[in-house]
Amino acid sequence: MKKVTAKVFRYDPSTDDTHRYETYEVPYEKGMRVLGVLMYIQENVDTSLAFRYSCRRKRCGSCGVLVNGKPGLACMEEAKGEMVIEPLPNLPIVRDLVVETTEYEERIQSISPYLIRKNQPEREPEILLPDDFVAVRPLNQCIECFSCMSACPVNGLKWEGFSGPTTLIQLARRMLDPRDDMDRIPDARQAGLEHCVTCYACVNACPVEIGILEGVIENIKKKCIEEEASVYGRYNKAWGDLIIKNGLINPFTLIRKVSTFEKLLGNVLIGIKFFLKGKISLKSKRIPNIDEIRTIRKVIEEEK
Amino acid sequence: MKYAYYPGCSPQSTTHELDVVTRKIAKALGIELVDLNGPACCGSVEMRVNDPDLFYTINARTLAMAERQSLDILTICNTCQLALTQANQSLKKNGELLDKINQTLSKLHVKYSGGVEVKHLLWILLTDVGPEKIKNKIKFPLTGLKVAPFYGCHILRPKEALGFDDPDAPNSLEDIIRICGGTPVDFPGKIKCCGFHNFPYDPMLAITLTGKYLEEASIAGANCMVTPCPLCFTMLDGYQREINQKLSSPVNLPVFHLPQLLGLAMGMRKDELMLKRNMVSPEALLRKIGHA
Repeated sequence: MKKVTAKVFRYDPSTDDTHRYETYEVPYEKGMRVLGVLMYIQENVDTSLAFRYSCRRKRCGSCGVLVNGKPGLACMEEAKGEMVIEPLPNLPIVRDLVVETTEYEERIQSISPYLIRKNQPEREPEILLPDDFVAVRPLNQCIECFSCMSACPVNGLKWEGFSGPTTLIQLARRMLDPRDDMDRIPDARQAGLEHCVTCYACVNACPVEIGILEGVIENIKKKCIEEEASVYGRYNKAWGDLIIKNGLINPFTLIRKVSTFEKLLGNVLIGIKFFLKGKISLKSKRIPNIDEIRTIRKVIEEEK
Repeated sequence: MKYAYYPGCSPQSTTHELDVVTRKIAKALGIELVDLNGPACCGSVEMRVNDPDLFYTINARTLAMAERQSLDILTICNTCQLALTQANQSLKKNGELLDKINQTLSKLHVKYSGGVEVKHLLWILLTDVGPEKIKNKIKFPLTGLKVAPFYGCHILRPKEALGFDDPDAPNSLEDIIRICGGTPVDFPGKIKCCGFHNFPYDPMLAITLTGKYLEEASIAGANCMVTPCPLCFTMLDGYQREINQKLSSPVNLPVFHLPQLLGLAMGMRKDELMLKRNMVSPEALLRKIGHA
């Protein structure tokens, strides 16, 4: 009979000093998922194995675990070969694969995750067109499984001021909803989206395939830029300005334009080191046909 | 084998050595690089947010330059690869967008029809050039080099746009390291983010992230690192001294650009590979493995 091997993280903080891994061989059935492996172990080998699940069909978001280091849903991840199954990282462990998610839930609560309407609709029933919900609709698929939180390298550092991708999805759901009247810019600032490193790890981990970077974080950034509320607004503008000026980015000029005086001062030694190696130049390189870029800019402006 | 060459901004400034060495290894491997006439910055993820019209138009202008010569584009930077790929895919899929952008480009008498592919040097080495051809050029197998491969983000993710390597378990850099005679060293951070794009306004975040990966690679037994991205290179090599001030056990990991590693194995001299421009000197390590 074909088998799969599961090396499972075991830890009971009430009795164990530290965690351990137990290895189980489980009979394989066609189409078997990681959740099926865990259920087999609990029913046939060790009833004390703790893990969470509910719907078994990618709707509830309860069964998030790490499989071979990658976050995902136990009910959807294919069981195969040798697997290492661990709890989601960066959270307190209740027992074995069960983690305490209160911290993440509180972060979501902090951004008022519900529609706030100050003004009544112009008429009842309110007419809502599908096109108005293009940006919001995919975000409604979020099942708060926290796979993205587990994959995010900045969240992994517990970086101060960054509330993580799940919180930003829940913020964007309201911010981009045409019915919401609340000024969400302060929440966006509070959520620290400028700490997102644009690495797409959240996108790669999302089991319901939400384009978190482009569909969430960049959409919130656009709103913030419109409101001129943010450091990245200044950064992005400087980026565009330099391209119009030279066609290329001189990193030295970019940093000079967007850094605060304190940060510039902190970078003086590094700057000298780079300068001595010929890595930065005070004079920016310019493409020979910069007029073409400026013409493009002019045409785009005129069309607007 | 002929490509339109897109060096991007960093190899025209901070990592000038990458541009020079890419040209040398390309020539040695029979890749003809055709310079385009003033391609602009790809706009990175920044311009896509702030000014999507400009993002699509300047990238369509670059793509059209390559199309005019019936060439695909070769990139040497992860972020350029992603930005050009995403712009290209959007223009190919969305006829309305392509028409609108071509309307703007018509003022320059330029038109893009969607006939170009954008490929990173790493992918071209393993496909169009092929492992056998590279193996035949190896004159100095890098035995003794334990190389940590650092992929960076924008050559792996999003998978739907890029799709060359498995973003969770890539192996193309490992393949190159083996072809060069080195030993690849696995470490968790190899597929993670160096934080470069946040550096201008959150330098400590980028330094902390990069430090974590350098530490992991060192603990895993690496004696050097290789990356296909000049932005990752700048963080890993350029800021290693600052990173060490934050680490409990400082690391000393020379970092190579992908073409520098290849060039070493192909027997090129250290001065040809401009290794003096690397902040962390690989001199002692190369002496140890007997590279003159």
